[in-house]
Amino acid sequence: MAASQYFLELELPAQRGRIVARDQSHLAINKKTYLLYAQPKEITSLSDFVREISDRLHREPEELYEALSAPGRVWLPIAHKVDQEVVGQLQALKLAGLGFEKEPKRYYPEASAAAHLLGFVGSDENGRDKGYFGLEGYYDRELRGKGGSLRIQKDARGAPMLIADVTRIEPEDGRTLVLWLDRAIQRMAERRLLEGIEKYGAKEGSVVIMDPKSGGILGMAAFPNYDPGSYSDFVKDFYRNPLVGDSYEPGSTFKTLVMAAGLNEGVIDGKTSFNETGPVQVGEYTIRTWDNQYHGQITMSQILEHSSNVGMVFVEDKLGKEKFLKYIRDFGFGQPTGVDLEDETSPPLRDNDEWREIDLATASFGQGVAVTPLQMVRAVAALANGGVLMEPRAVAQIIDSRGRKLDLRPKPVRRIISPETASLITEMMVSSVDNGEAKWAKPAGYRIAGKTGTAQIPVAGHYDDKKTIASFVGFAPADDPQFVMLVTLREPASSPWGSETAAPLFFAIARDIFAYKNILP
Amino acid sequence: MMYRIIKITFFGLGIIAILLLTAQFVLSNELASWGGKIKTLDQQISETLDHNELLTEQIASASALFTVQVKAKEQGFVEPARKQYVTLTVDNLPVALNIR
Repeated sequence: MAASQYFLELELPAQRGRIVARDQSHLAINKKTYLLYAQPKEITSLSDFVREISDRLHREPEELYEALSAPGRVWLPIAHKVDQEVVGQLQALKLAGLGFEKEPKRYYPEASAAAHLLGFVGSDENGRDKGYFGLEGYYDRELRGKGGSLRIQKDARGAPMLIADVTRIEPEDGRTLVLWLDRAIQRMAERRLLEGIEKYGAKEGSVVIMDPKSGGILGMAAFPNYDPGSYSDFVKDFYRNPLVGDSYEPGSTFKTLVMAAGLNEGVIDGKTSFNETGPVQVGEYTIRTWDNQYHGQITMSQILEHSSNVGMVFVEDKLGKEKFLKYIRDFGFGQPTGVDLEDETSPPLRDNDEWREIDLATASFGQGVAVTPLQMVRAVAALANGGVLMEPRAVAQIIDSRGRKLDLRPKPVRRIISPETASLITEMMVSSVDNGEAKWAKPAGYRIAGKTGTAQIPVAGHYDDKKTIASFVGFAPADDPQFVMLVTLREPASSPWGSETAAPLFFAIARDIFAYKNILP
Repeated sequence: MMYRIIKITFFGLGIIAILLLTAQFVLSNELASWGGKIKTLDQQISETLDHNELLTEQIASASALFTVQVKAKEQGFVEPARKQYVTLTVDNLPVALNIR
């Protein structure tokens, strides 16, 4: 107590680090707000005090009155993170016993844009700021920084003395995260996704756009969404990022990976043909094509164009169980991608000896295997970049409080297929777009490699034939891919088919990206 | 003679000591009041930093894409119905030539 009479001790808080997009535009910064507190012993008129405060802060007057009247109270926090505007009004009243302390609040200038990627800042059990979900959660320690302190002798008037003992520990502000995210691409994706969900009557939708060469996430959108600046106003279920935290059965988009595996192993090639005469029997089960149409002798490329399930069973059979499952794991399924977002999960893959013949057959066309959207787009990115699986990343660079920059280099995980196989599967996917069911929606003049997907949703142990997840995955321009993108729509009401919902949505976003990045046909 | 020298030395030292004590007294007094000035300067620094923070916030808000979109609409910008590409060159147009 004696020391406090001649020593001034101040905590020097650290500023939470910013999150910025690739073009350095702000996605998350700190806004100046205040903690309002009362010193009851200094209040001259309690009723006036309560009336003025409760009006402006929308607090119950009775509750505030009771709290301030409690005996022995010398200090009482009234409201946290109050905006400058309200503080200005209260300061003008010059109310005795009312104090203001700076208390920064997280501010997201782009509102709900990239909410799932960013996460939000809430409080921990001690009332201190803590990041949850997304980047705020994953990089909470880096963003939080480290508070400092100042201990200085003071004179009788309370002013610091120059010739006195001073102990100062500088605060270390949190680091700035520079993302791969392109703000314009993010906005395009969100706008088109919202339009698509409305147009096709879907319950939910998601888009993820990645740079296939670096694994950098250029855009990530999902609806329903929330505003991280007012997260408590939204249902908690919305906080989780479905692109990394939810799984789905990929359906026919998975065929591109199985086909690539077959090509890479040499069990099939560009000239291999398959006689598609009718349904295929696998044990007691019958596998049919999606439209029950059969086209006779078809090439591997035509298997993708027609999205033939029986053709894929042929490819899987050629590969064999061990190699088939090895490629599924090599493509990154069954384990987290390692992306730097807090809420990532991965649906597990069964052990090899638990796979029955029918499981292998259905997995060849993407049913009976669960993946996250990020796992799926990352696997297809490996087809786009010459055969290398990359670790997806949201953050490209970290800048500390002294301005020192740390580049987070792209991280190749492993080579899955050869560059030659990657070229071949790319051509097949281009052909699938040009000649497949979605060809009507494709932008003219562009070579886009892609595949539609329409997967039935498993409900209580069986597939509901009316409920689907429509999807489209692809990359463009095929010869030098600038982006790889996956679009998913859950239970589109207008049509269950990916070719009629997710594919046109993909192409709409692709058109926007082509114009933005000046990619000519 | 020796006695005179010693006398002058002590007298001189005495004067110096008094001068130094006076100087210390004056300087200490001055320094003691600088604490208040430092406090004022610290306050000004704090206010400037606060103002910078507010400006950063306002810039971030004004440059948010949604804000830009609203402003663009207010000023009459519209999205093109169809994206069109106009090229003004033919294939194989050289960008550098050696002219003799």
